[in-house]
Amino acid sequence: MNIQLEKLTSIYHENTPFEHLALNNITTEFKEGTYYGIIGHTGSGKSTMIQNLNGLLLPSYGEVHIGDITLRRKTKQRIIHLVKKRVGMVFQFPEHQLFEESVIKDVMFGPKNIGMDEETAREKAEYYLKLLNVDRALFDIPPFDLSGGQMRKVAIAGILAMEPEVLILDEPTAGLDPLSHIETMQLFQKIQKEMGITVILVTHDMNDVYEYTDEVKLLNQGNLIRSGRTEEILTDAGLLQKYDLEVPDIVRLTSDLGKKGIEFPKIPKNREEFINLYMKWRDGYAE
Amino acid sequence: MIEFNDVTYSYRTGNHNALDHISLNFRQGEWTSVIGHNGSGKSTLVKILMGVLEGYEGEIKVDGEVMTEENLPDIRKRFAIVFQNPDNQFVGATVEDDVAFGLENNGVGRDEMVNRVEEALRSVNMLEYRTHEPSRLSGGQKQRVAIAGALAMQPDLLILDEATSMLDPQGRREVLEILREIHREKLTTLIYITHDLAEIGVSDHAVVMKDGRVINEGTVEEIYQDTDALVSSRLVLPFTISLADRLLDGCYMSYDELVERL
Amino acid sequence: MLSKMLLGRYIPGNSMVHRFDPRAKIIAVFLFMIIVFFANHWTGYLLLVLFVLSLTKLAGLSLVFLFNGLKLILLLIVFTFMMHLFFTKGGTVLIDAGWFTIESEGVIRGIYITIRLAMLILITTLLTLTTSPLSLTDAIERICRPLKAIKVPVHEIAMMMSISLRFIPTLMDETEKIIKAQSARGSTFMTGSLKSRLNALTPVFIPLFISAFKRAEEMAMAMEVRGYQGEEGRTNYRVLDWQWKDTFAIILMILFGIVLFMIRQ
Repeated sequence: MNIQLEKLTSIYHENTPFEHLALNNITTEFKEGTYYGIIGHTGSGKSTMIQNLNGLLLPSYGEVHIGDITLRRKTKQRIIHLVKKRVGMVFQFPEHQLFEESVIKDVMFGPKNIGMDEETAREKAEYYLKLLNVDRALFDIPPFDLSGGQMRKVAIAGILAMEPEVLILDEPTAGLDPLSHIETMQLFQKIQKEMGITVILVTHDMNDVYEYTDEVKLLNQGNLIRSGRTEEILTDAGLLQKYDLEVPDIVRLTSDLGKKGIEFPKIPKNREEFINLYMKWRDGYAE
Repeated sequence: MIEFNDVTYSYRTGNHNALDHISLNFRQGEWTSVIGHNGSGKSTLVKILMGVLEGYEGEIKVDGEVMTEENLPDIRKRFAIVFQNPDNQFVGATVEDDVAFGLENNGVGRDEMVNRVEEALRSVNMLEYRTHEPSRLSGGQKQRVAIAGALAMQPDLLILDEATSMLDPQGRREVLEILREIHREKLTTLIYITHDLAEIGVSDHAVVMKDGRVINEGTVEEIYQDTDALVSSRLVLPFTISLADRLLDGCYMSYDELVERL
Repeated sequence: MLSKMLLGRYIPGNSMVHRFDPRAKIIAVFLFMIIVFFANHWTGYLLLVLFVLSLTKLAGLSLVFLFNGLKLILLLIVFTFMMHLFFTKGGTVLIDAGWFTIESEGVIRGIYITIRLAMLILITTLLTLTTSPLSLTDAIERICRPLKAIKVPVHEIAMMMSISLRFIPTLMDETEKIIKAQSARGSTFMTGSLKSRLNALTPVFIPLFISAFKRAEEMAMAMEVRGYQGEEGRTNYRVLDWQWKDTFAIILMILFGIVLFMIRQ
């Protein structure tokens, strides 16, 4: 399922003194099975954009096509509800949305809301909790008795169990320690590859965007500046600096080595690839 | 300045020691980082020092004087602490009110209070925001206000308990930069609690904790001698270090050195 | 709609009215509430209206702005007027439609009551529009200080008020976030029966309460380690500065009351 934005304009508090243009006439596409990163400085419109992708916000002008569903300014709640089945959203600090008396019930909440019966919902919940390494012994205890990291896993399982075709991640690693950060990002990568779903990642962390995404959309003050392959946009140091974004560590190091005359055939995607390329270069240099 | 001598503590609910025979020394004027994964005991350490947890074994000395129930209130007045959540420690309705809060509690006179608030806000570069409400500030700015509130108390020791863990990369940088400046200019004694090795670069002394024990201690360079111990403590090596470790036989170096030596 | 509502809002400014000591403003509004009832014929009411209008001018606020912001309240005023129009009897009969009559006394009483109500609403709105919630809290604490003699915890109440005020925007944000998060999980707030709509609120309120308790706990700890021990030995950073102009304003208010009392008929 693809998502198309057609001349999407989003205005907050329209016709009041607080009027604010959050997105300005954006036309772009999110293709099925691709891992996207949305980047931009605070206030660039990232969060408005993703809320338009699952009906939390409706366009002020223009249209959002989610598969065969079209969202417009006055789309009915009944239609919007259909979108929730297809597009899942993991908010920043998702553990704040837990409320049920047991872990398993909380994970079943979303699936049941979109019409799964009790049994299917339980099956899905158990499957995704296991996928996220949540121990079966914890299924029946209140989610509030868990540690912060486990609570976040339960909250994420609650979205995955709805089996969305598109998964939106809003700063999914905020507040996590570095190891959990890596584990969480690798998990999303695995899910994206195995289930072939579209993932849309919003984050400040350019290293993650560079390492995990296929395509990038760069926003600034409500305008779509660039949209294209991650390797093109995140290796363009001039572009990133212009919009106050950081250059990924690997890209920076590769380019600094390039200045020293150490040239790689391509810019490595992660640390392992860097090490391999460097070893090869060193072997070649030694000969 | 602060000495932990064989301190052991266990929570009533836990079946193992949260702190297991800890002996540590935090020296005057030094920036000491305490690094550990969740559950390593680093937060327990702070809570004991702040007198929030009682009933530990062993002794804690502050400037040679053993900490007891009687002198705890006076000792605690000499420490200031900044917590993790920027929102939940902002007491005042505006930036300046929040910085003044601790001073008001300690009965500091109004004229001195005004001076100290101004000076503290200037040292964290937040003076121009003095009349702002917290809802109009970023997470990094709120933490800077919390640091100003701590500094205004003119403490002998400033403790930062995972003060950057809820901030975005920019907020994190802001806070670390401010701390570096303050430490350099005022020689404030700092205890910096973190789970991120990338943040310990500027500290004079580093302590690595795991399962309630100190597993390594020394200068930053020294603790990077044993990267395996760090990794087995569920810590993640920073970018530069991890590459240096794999490609240049594990040496502690800066980014520029890495580029130079590769 | 709500963003235009003025009741209880504060508009920062630097007008003469803004700069009065909040205590003076509260006392003046209190006096005004008494004075309003002195007026009992048209000269008195005219003076009241003139007084409030000139204050509005002094506060640098436009009447149109106030009128727009108080539209909802206007309904209440119109309703009060109607009640008097139809049910207050006396004087000459103006309209006699058989099943109801409108008599001159009803019209006059209706107009008077309307003016009274409108002026009371305007003056209290002026108070909140020109005084920050924080200054109001401070002022109430100082004014109520004598109540401590009868064991009213004035300081604690004021501290609670100011912390609540500080947390209102935070909790509003949080509520919005949780509503969005649950709505993304397929929770519906806008459709279904009243019962199902109420049920849909559980997933919002529980997380909200849990986070509010967590905040309260952390806040208490932060306050404690920053040396908070109640009012004893505490100094104040914010000081209220009672000046001559404040005394003058109160005297003026009393004089105004005396004049209104003298011209009663």
